Amino acid sequence: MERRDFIKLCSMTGLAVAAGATAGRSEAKVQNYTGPLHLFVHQGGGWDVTNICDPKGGASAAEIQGQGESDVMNHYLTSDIGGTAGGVRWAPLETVPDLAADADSQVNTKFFSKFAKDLLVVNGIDMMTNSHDVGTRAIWAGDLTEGKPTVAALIAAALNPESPMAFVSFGGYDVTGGTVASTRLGNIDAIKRLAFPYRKDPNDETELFFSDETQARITKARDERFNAAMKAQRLPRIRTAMSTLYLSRLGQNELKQLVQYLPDDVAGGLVGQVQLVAAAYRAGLCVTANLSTGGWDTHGDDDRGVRDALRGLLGFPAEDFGSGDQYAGTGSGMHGVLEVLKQQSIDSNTVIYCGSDFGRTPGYNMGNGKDHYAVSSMMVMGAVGGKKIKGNRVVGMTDERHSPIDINPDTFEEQAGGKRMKPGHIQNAIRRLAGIEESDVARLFPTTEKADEFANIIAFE
Amino acid sequence: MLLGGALAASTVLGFAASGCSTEGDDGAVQSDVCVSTEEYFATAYFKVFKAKCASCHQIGSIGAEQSDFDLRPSSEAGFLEANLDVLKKVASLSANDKSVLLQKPLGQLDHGGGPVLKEGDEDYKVLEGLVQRFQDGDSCPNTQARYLAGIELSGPDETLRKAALVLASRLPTDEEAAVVQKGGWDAFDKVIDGYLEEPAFYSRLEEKYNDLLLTDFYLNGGNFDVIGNDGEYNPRWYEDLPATDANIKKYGAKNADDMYSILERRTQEAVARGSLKLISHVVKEDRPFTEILTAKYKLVNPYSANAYNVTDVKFDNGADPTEWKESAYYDTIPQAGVLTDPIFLKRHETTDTNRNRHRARMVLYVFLGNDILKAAERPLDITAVDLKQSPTMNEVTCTVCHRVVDPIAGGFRNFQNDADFAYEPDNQWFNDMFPPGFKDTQMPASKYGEALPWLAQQVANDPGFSFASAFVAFRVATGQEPLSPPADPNDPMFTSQLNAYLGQYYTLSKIAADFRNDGYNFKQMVKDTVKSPYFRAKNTAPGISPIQVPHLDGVGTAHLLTPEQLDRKIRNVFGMPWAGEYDFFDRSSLLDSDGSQGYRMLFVGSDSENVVNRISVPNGIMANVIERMGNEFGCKVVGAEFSLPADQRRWFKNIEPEVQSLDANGYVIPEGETAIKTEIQFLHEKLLGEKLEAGDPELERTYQLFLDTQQEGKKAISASAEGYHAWFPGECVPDVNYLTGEDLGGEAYDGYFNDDPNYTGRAWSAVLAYLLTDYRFVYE
Repeated sequence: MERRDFIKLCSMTGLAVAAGATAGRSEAKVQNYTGPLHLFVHQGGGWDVTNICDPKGGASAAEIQGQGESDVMNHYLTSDIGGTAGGVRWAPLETVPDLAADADSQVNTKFFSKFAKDLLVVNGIDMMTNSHDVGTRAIWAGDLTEGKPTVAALIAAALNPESPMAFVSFGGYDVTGGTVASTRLGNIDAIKRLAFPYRKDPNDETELFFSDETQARITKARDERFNAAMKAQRLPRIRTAMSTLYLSRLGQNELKQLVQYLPDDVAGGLVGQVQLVAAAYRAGLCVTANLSTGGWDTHGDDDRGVRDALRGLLGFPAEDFGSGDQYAGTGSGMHGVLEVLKQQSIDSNTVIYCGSDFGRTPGYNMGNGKDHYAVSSMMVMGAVGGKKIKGNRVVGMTDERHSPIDINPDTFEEQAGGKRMKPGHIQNAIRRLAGIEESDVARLFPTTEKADEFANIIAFE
Repeated sequence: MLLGGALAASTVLGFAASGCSTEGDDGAVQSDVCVSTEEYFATAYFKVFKAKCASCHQIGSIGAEQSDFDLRPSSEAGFLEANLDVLKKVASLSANDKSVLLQKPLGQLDHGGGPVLKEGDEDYKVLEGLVQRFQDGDSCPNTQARYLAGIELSGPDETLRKAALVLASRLPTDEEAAVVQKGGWDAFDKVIDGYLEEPAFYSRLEEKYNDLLLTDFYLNGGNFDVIGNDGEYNPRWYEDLPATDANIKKYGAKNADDMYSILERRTQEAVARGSLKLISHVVKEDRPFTEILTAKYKLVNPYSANAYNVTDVKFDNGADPTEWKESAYYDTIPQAGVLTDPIFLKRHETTDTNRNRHRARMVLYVFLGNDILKAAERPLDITAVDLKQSPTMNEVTCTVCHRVVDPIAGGFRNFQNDADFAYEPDNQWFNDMFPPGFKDTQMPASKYGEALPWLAQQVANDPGFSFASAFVAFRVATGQEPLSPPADPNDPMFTSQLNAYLGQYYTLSKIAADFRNDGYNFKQMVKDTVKSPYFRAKNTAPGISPIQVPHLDGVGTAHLLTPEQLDRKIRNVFGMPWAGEYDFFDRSSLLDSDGSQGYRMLFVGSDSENVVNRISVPNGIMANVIERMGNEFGCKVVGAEFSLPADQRRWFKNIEPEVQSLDANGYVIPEGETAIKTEIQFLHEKLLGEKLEAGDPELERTYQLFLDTQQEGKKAISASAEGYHAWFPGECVPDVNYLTGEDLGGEAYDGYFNDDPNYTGRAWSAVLAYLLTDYRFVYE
């Protein structure tokens, strides 16, 4: 077994690295990752998809103006729902009477009218839970049970396990199940200092705490000590801890590659997150990243809550911001994310998945809010190696009260006695697109649904 | 006999039939063979009852509602004991001279779920064995230690060092070490008692509770007006305070602006940390730990007293933020410890439809050890639920959780969705929810106006409270989460996972029971945890069977220190923080997260807001935080220490930078080599807890690092090589005595450690970088 594979296996299984494993440290150079970047955008709190990409309107003005507890699904008319020929439809929030005066209520229309052509919408996902924690796990791990790793970790572990930041997380579901370490990124100055821990000033390569010779000497002594300790230690917990510290140090030098790609400043929200991820990806270090915004738990005043949360998720194009604004050059939310990817020339090799814990109940409660509901959607867009994911496309369907409709798993058309899409199917689709479904690490965590069901959720142009 | 040997003999339940365990002279736990009914049942629960019965008989499910057979889920603390009691009752019922437990699963006696087992199946035989054991009585006592057979435990000396670092974030003093060395375990408790009085212990306790309660969210900027600025409370009380010279002096401020800034910060901290301080107060005062929920007073310091308009407390020093006193606030709002703290209520808000359920979930999770959300791991078919007919009361898929959660939510009936946290004694509760109460007890109508104190008492009396408290003591001592029960009986590692889990479960169960029987003495529980194998395990016996090793997965401590812990350890061990350039006193590179200096959020940190799950597995960034700490701080320690007279130093007391081990011709200077190795032995012992004898490979390795580095630098300086200087790095040398603040030499710089022509200072820096970045320094 190659040493690289051995470390990968150790990383995957959480096993301790055996004594003697350090013999070839100098060979342990991290491979520069050039495959697709996978971004998982989590919308914390349970998003109201009938107010986004699976719209359900009212029949009349009188119906949608009824406040308080009523059966109306949303406060806009079905006839006002926007859409494309390909079937992508979106909720016209700007027509909701209480929101009409606010220009930000254009948020759906501005996003979808620009990007629907690139967008795959998966509706009618039966999440099988309305618990925040469980739903967050289900959508990204494809499984309701505790401890299952997110698919972001599996992809990172399968494709670039030795990188110090193969999986970057800004929140959402980042349980890795011992497959790979998750990394947080933040302040740029701090990252620069960490990229060059032997430099007194990260920008001055001449002033060092120790010479290269001494650095190598410390590393050698440390390796020898690690080997001796591992030979003597047999308790699994302690061996695993020593091993993971050792493994984390293997990629220390590669952090230097990151610095040259870091921007001078980072913006807020999703845009700032993707700016850092893009730098890590261009440095050949990052494979997957969790991006995250929240504010979706709209138990009260759902319409305004949705509008506010969509500001964070979809955002607005650059032209909506004045010069000097942090978003002036990119736009905010997903507008900004897509623009950053374009500016960094990595948009042709990046896939983006947007998902959430679950959806919201059909209709409004007494507080004009909506409660937890186990039916949700996902939005997917991007490209792999220049091959674009087929956009302007919707798979899955729900009825007028947002119950999933049984469909044919091959044609996605309504079919009595058909199937519902579940998180396990989504998991299969993501693994398949990443090309890891047959990898060792993926096999360690089998999915809950058959691989040949809904096999074509994601298609390419 | 080790467990591995017994495994092969196991036939029915798949795990070892061993029992009584003892600690041998060599510190290794040894075991004999026996299985108690409790242990037999534990495996039966996971293999049969959880897999075959719980879907209908878990509390809140249809089978539990319609019979006396209601199983507690494994997410609930103490579930094994509770379920064993239930099984004993059910098994004792008989029909046709046969236990109903042996008939219902076969579909007999009109079992609503029909047949779920077949006579003769292995699972059915397990039931038969269980009923037989109930009838025969226990053949041997339950002994949790059998799961720990083959473990090597630390003795009192080693345990003391570890306990000092974990509980007090410092090394034991020579006196403390001598006391324990002489008195052994008999003297151990008394020394530990001292650690449990130190501020570091309370910081640790508060951090662990904050990781659950997340109330430090309100220390973050911009969250200050959380308790409202009108009506009941007055959080900006200081804005009316005149900035007189007397007041500026009283609060230790430099000027008026500084005074208002200090008052705002201290008030914010006092209000935000009220719950955490109450928990510390109860422990400090040796009160029963249940008082964290049942306290009928409000704990305030001078700042929060003003914010809460409390007037019945007199402070010795009205400016001292550490002076906390009890206020008889009960007259205004019936108090229930943490549960009535406005910050707890705010951090775990409710809405018109949530109806305090989130708060109830927090009560279950934090104070009863019951992670109710795990019950939601069962798939739910939302389209099969009638959403119009109060599903939380009528749909089985919902009642599994809501039967437990909703009565507790009713305990918060006096505090509903109100931004001002107004206490409303006459609030009406909801008819479409299970009525307020706790487990099988409904809240008496006479208590509706004091619902939270009633609920708090029920929670405090419940065995789950002891378990939940034991979990926190375990987290404090080990830095680790208690193990979760294994989920999949078909997993090839199931048996070892189950044994690892049961060993820890029974240990914590006993600690929790002792805690309850000992008057809820939290300090004693921490001591019991520290003396348990889970804290003391340091290795296995050398000849342990490889089969047995996975069964020990939960044993031993090995957690990467949090930034708070590492900062405290560094400050206490070295007398100064790891800070930025030229800074020996103030900022901490580990804690500052103001965007310019700090590594906290990159290194295991939590902000109690967005990042609440601390990363436990180090990544490349975290590895480099450790690396930079070793390089920067090791250099500073050398600079600061060699700038002091030898008798004032903490380190290098018996060696000067002039001491070398080779002369100009490369010959050994024996006394120099001895002095250097002696200092290295001292550093290893203090920093890593290793006592190295002469000739030990670790001693020689570190010495070689010193020697090679020193020789490299000395030769390079002599050759005027680029990048090598004859002086020690200036940014690592303080201009004052870092211990006293006294000037080291005025403008003449006489006292500073400046010249380093032989490169010994930097060689010592390399040694410190090596030791500070070692596993044994950054993990506990």
